[in-house]
Amino acid sequence: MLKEISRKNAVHIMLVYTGGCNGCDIEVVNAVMSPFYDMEQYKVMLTWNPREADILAVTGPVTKKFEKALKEIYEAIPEPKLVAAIGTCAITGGPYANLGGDLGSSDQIIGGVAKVIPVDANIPGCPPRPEDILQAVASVIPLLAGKR
Amino acid sequence: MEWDTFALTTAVIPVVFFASSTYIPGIMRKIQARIQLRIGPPILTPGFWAIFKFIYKERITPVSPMPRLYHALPVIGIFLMFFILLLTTPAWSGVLGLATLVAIAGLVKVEEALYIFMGNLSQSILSVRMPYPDRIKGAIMKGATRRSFEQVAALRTFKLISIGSFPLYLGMFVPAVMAGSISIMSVAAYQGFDTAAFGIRDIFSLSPLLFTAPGLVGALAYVAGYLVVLNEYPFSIMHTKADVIEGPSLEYAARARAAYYLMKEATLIVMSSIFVTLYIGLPPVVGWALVPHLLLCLALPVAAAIISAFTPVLTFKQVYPLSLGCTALGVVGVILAIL
Amino acid sequence: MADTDRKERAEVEVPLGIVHSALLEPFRTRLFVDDEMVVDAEITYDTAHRGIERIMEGMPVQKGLILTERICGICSHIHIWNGTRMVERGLGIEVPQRAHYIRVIGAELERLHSHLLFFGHAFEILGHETFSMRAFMIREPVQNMLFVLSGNRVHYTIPVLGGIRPRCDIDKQKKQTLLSMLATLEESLIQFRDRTLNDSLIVSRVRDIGYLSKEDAVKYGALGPNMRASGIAYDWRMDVSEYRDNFDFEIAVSDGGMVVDRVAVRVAECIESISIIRQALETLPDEEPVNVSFELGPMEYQVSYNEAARGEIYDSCALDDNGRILSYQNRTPTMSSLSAMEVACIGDHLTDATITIASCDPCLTCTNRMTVIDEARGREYILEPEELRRLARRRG
Repeated sequence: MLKEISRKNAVHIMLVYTGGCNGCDIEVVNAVMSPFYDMEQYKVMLTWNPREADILAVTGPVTKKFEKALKEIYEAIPEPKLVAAIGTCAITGGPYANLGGDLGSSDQIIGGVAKVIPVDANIPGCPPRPEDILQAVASVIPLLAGKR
Repeated sequence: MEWDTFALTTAVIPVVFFASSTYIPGIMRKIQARIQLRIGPPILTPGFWAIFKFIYKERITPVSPMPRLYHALPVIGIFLMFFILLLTTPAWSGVLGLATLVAIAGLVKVEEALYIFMGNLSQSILSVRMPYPDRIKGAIMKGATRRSFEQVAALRTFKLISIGSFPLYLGMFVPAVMAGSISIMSVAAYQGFDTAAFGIRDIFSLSPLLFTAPGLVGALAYVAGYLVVLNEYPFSIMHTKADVIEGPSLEYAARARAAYYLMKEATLIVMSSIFVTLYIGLPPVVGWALVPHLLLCLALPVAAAIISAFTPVLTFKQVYPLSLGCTALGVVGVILAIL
Repeated sequence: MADTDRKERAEVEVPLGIVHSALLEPFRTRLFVDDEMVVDAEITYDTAHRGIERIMEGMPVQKGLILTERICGICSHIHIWNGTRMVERGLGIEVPQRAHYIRVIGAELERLHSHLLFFGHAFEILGHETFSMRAFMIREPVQNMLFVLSGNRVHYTIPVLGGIRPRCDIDKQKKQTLLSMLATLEESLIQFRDRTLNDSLIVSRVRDIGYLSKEDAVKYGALGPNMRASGIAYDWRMDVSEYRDNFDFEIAVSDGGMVVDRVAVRVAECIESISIIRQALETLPDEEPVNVSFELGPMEYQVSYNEAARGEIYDSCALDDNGRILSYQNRTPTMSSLSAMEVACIGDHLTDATITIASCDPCLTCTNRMTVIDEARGREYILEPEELRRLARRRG
């Protein structure tokens, strides 16, 4: 009982940029830091420490150089944890994952975040609007409360 | 000594302060948010619900050479803070002769030193352990020693302890100079506090030191020292986001992080309570007089929130002169008190 | 202190990144410190490499130009504009004057939002959350203006070969909306400037750190506002005909070379940008915004330069018989600016080093893509000091 209420009432979010084009990043920063959108009023607070975080927000396609770091950061977060893939690139790898035609898949990009760590929420858009990001984050918080 | 009062105080005071300290981070955050033209989190979120959330998280072993000691440090900090608080109560004034400003100053020093141990006992993923191929095998390595964020923070804590907390101690001793005694109860008695019988109506008969010239100067020095002890902006170089992210507390997760939050909250309220005891002359007592005491305890955190909303984090280039300036202020207060 | 002393002393390394609260983008910074003073710095950036130039090889040119926009989410318009401009010049496509004006409006709005993002980021690093939030608050109307102009907040895709996309055309009502938003923006920006640059605590934090002398700026090739803050008065807008022939504007220059100068130059540029946008809106020529009567064909190797928010941007490519891209190259300003910052942060405190590195407004997504093209070609001419010196000499 107390567990569910407390999890709904205090959520920490950590941002990881895995090498996207910055478009999603600035919209996430807008959603979190700008007083215009202000994520804190929905009880979601920004942190840069995986040990403190509940939600890991990942933007951008995962590059091969980043794979190991992303995995280790995910493992550093204590349960319960959620991963939100923000933007088309984080969901599928975007235009970078598949070079098209005879070139096949990219040498540099693994693809979406789901290929590296389990993803709980996909927020599509190139980039998604801050409102979308806020709505998506607010809608996954009950998931967090339901975990063991 | 009256043993029933002693037992009641020991049981009630820490619990009441513990409970009311969880509101304070929320109030501070709300004030900053309103200054920043936004709504901000609900008052209970940052200090109260966050702690329960962390308690219900999965327990993990931190990456640390001595994980159990690392986890024990914030608990030690909490006990230390409430021990300091008990020393300022009238009931404890005769116990072991500890209820003096010297004992309190020493214990606050220990509390500050905990951060050094924390910093040296932690190895976060975010700096040295980050998997990134930037050290080429076989090449001549520059920088053979790698220092993690926590170690940098420990180094900074050491510098802050040695120079930053002068204003706090001078701020503590200005009332002692005026009252002519280092015993806390004599300082309170000097301002009209009656240890034997003190009801809520007697508050208006107090004559606080805060409203005298040396008291005001000393109080300013105390506020500066308060910010340093809390590591609040602008003196937050120990855990600034600019380079060390969170500093010594990086590896605390789940219950240990809840304990760390509680330690910070305890520091917030206890240091504020000492200010009320010394400068208003109203020590924490069991009874209705505790309510105005707790309300007055909000004054310093609110001031800290407003100051920190308008200041950047200062590097040592600014911390040293600022700290020395506040120390000079404290010295002026002491001189005024002697006169 | 003599250099020999430094070499004998054991250096301690403090690694930052690739996930860090101050240097938000994925790059690794290794700071070599003595106590806490930086004696050397090394910045490694190849984490965000995505291989866009490789993807563009053989793509139809219109499609490829849209992909250039996805190089960067902050300076997206200047990438697509510069690429379009290059192809238009190579193929001799006539562009209506109205399209030029609207492209300039897009570029200047982008400069505004990029600089305001920089202020927000810089204050966040300084630990001044309130002013960071104020900067984001001022930035929000700029995003709304871009939304009014183009229908999107990021990645607006204004230019198309031969002009601009019709959805980005400015009618009477749009013009009125933009002008009134611009007036409030200017007012709040001037208030913000007067408040922040006169705040003694903030100024004491950013003055006397991150010093980059004029010689070093030339030697390491600092570009854009970083170069102008070190006293080199050059801006590509003076040589780009769309700007030079149509608008009056001044180049903001400062001689200090410190972090505070880099901030001040950007503030002055913001106010100059507002004036350019106002001129463009008020003297907008009345004609069709797009010329559709052109044919794609083979194009010789063509080069185009322009001034992005962070400095000089360079694009080059050729087209084959079917109008497909051959060997697209793009060079963005952050690469050389960032290497200049490696020098600028030497001698500062550790906490000052991060604000110094951030004060060149690094945009790693552009830079990373470019490093690899060099590797793939086995050519590293961008990093060669000789080339940088040549570029700098030309600039005088």
